[in-house]
Formats: sequence, structure tokens, C-alpha cells
Amino acid sequence: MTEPPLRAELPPPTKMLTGRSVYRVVWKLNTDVLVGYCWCGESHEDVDPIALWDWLLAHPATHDPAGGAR
Amino acid sequence: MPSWPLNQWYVAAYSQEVGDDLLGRTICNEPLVMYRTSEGEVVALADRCVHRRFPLSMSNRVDDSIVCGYHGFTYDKGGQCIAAPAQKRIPRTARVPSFVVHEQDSFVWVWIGDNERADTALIPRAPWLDDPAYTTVRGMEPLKARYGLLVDNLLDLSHETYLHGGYIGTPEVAETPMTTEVDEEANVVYVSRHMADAECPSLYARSTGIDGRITRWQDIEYHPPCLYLLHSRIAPVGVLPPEDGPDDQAFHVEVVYAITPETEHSTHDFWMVARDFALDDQEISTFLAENNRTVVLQDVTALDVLETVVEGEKDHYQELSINIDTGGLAARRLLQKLIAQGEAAPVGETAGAGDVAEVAVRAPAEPVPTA
Repeated sequence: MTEPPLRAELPPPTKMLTGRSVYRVVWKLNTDVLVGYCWCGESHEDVDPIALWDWLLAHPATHDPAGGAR
Repeated sequence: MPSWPLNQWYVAAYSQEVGDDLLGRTICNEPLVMYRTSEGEVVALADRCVHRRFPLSMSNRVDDSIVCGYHGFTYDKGGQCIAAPAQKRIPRTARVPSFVVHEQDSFVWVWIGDNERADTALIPRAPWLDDPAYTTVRGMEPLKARYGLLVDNLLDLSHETYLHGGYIGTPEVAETPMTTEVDEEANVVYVSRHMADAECPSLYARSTGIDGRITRWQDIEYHPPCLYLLHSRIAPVGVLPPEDGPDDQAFHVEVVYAITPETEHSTHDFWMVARDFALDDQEISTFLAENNRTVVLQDVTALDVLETVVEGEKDHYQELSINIDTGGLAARRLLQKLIAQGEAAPVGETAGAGDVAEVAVRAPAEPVPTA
């Protein structure tokens, strides 16, 4: 139903938490695009927060075990 | 299975509420009686006499013991029955459960779970509530709604513009980019909304004396299940925290909520507002307390209605989530993770990262994607 989002001009994410395993989601309001960052640095875009969280939570399964997962 | 995580700390009371008198309060479906011993220690026992269930909170305190107001069963501070009417021998099973409590940051925290798993190092901190460099006003409102509705409410402050217009809502709150962060190891949700150039809400204009537009930061830090912190920073436009040294050109307001389930359909809504300016100004204290209570009651009214709506809805009702819900969805997921961990037993065998990734973001009422 929803088309893939367009890449938006985004400010760098505000980084407040400093732990090893921090997921980060940035939203620029002039678009409907959310950009999610896994703690490994890889990012993914979506306009559905549920789908984005699903992607983020599944992503560490593809990490090298030494890459931050417990 | 309850809808809240077990084996967690919950705020049971403000420290100032617990004194010589017996205080009855239900926390996570556990009726408790609390009091402070002659040595100043807070005690929390199950609020039911083992004999015929009479509430101990409606009984009598004698020294550091409670004498049941029905038949006189007497309990020491550990919950052991030490006297029963006309009995020479006290039945060994005559004891009421005792709960682990810990006082910190002006709260009485209670551990809801297995007592041997209680670790005070796990209690999240709110140090300014008990810091002479801050002045705090506070209250507690009973909420006739499940605690999850208050979590949803507090994790998305864009509702301020609509539900609290004229108080703390200004147009920029709903028009500023947000960043949502989740620390998977520390179990923290953080939602930042940094407004570079914003209208100053009347509440802050009046209490800080700032004349003109402001740089307004709202940083939510939620430590599920119970503690919610809103770090609010107000400064003249363009004034940012220095790289080094204290951030003394800004005003800081720490809004704190303790979200404690009472039952599956009611919640203790503890609220506090701490500030690091005008510490002795009673007029500002009164103003902040009255204003914030008004805002809290606006939420209470809305959430009480929502509870009846949720209770009355059909099974599998599908709600819709949009971008503003990113933080709320993260909070729901962490709660689901903690519920699973709290049910699982012993420490050392809790879920690892692989298990965490399998906890669905979607709450039961969330829609199934159709794309």
C-alpha cells in the first residue's frame, strides 16, 4: 500500500545515549521519512514506524558476533 | 500473567508519605501496608491478616508492631506473627509476606517479585528530587486507566499542542524533528526534541523571567517500567550548553513521573517538577504546582475515558501508528521484553540479545502490515 520512502535531507541524529547497543531513529518533520540506525552504523528508511522497528530489531542477527551484540 | 513486568522496582510512595501512621496502598495488585519504624526504616507488608484477611492498614500500630484491628493478631516488622489471642503457641505459618523496599531520591521503591532477586543497583536515579540545588513540587493523582495508556501519553509530547494548548503546548512542539534512541542493554528509551527557536510557553516565561523566544530542549528518558524523566532546558535563543563547565546560562526543569500500576485498570500517577532557579520563590512554586497539576488532570480525564473505550472495544481492534509514535512503540517493546524476562526465572538465565531481537515491536492491538 505504501510506496518506498524518498531519501530526505536529514540533520545528523542527535546522540544522547552513549551505550554500546543504541538504536537511533531520526525523523525530519517536513517529510514522513524515518531513518533508523542500527548500532553497527547501518541505516534503513521507512514511513511506517512499526516496519522500521522490525527492521532494526532484526538487523543485529546479521552482525558479526563481535560487533556489539551481547 | 499481569500486564506489567515482575521482578522490577516500582515507586510505592513518596518518602514523606510514610511515617508513624499505617499507609495502605495497592501496588501491582499487591495490597501493601507501609509504615516507618522507630528507627526510621520503611516497612512494607502484605495488607491482609493471615487469620481472616482484615486489612492491617486499618489496624493499630503498637511500637513497631501491627495489631490486627479484628482479632488482635500481632505482627513484627518482618511480618512474623508474634501474638495471637489466647494462643500459647503461634502457628509457624502465621506470617504475612514482607516486601523489599529501598528509599532513594525521595521515593520509597518496592520490589515486586522474588525477594532474593532484588538488587538496589537496578533502581534508576532522579537525584535532583532530593538535591538542595533544586526546588521540587509534587503530587499524585489516581488514574482509572491501565499504566500502558500513561506510558503512551508521556512518550509522545506532540499531544501537548492539542490536549494542553495554552499551558505547555506551543506550535513548535509538534513541528520539530525528533530523535528516538533505545539502549538495548540499559533498557532506556530516549526521545529528544531540540527546538532552536521557539515561542516561550507562558508557564516558563513567567517562572524564568525570559522575555522573548527561546531555545527549548525536551529530552525524555524513560526507564521502564516505572520511571519517566523529562529534562527540559530553557535558554535565550542561541544559548547552548558549554563544552566544559556548568550549563549555568540556561534554566532547567526536571519533570518526573513515576508510573506505578495499581491494578490492571488503574494506576498511581506520581508527578514532580524540579527546578534549578528561583529556589525560594514560593509564588513560582505555587504557580508551577497548580499549572502542572492542571496539565496532569487534563491527561487523567482523557486517559480515564480511553480506558473505558479500550475495555469496551471488540477483540483485535487495530490502532494506527505514525511517526510520532516511534518512542511509544519502543517503550511498548521494552516493556514486553521486561515482562518476558521477569517471568523467566533466575538471574543469569535472562534473555540474551538474540532473544531480544525476537520480541515484536507490535503490541497486541497494533495493525498487521498489509503492504
